[in-house]
Amino acid sequence: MLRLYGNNLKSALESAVRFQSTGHKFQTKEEKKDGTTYVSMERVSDSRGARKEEELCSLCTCNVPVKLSYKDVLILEQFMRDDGTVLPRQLTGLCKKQQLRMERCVMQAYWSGLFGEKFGTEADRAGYKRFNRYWKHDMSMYQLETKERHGTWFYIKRYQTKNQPLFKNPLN
Amino acid sequence: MSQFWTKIRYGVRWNPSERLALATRALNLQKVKSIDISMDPLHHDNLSIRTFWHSIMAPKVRLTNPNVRVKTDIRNDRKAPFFVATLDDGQKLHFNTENMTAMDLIMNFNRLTGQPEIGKAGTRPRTKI
Repeated sequence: MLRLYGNNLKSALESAVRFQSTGHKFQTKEEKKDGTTYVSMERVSDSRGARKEEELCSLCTCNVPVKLSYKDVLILEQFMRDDGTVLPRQLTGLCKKQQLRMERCVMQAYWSGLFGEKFGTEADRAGYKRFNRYWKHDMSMYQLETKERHGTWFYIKRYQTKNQPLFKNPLN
Repeated sequence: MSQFWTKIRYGVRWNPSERLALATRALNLQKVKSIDISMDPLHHDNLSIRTFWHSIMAPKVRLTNPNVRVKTDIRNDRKAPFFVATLDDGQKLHFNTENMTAMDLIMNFNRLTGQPEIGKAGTRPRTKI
């Protein structure tokens, strides 16, 4: 820890933050001593030390962020466990933005059926989700688009305009 | 954020509170002779041992072995809480419950007393008294 806190104040603060995020992890320790089993929690610390400022995440290399899409299944699988869940940011070493994108892409890859049977079929495919869905890119999932129907009065005659009482009078 | 997303991220496939409830369900004191709980009520980390204490005093758990002697020692020294469980075969389990969640505690206790770690989910028939 001396090495980490020795440089300057800023890096010390950062490493403190990292220490906080990774230092409060505990593991069950069990040892047997003459007929008694001692069970306690043992602190596990991160051996990599603090993250440095110039450290870039593996998808933001050379200041040109790689645009991950849900079709890059082989890349996505490297960030996943065997049971089909996503590794946390402490383990993947990605920045916040890329981690969110990666998680979104994994979700979309499930819904477009690109993982196949590999991670089981218990993914959320209820209702309309039973059909595979495809997107242009990962953010287009959130962009709502209106369907244009040409040759209809739908956009013009949306509300009734004729013979509507202005106020509802309960006495009449 | 959809439910599905919360499920795949951080590898969370189970609910901790649900897991605790199932572990509490699997509690069985058949092989336990006595439990000596020792805790400081003013220590900052004694929730897990209090949860454990509460769950072993539940009537359904007590009925699994009415002869279990539960003794408590309330201290005033701000030291970490612990309990010692004496088993039928003379073995002792010493749990230092600092930094341990109640779920971990009860699951480890179940495992070391030779019970399944988590019980079955769903309704169960009423025990006949």
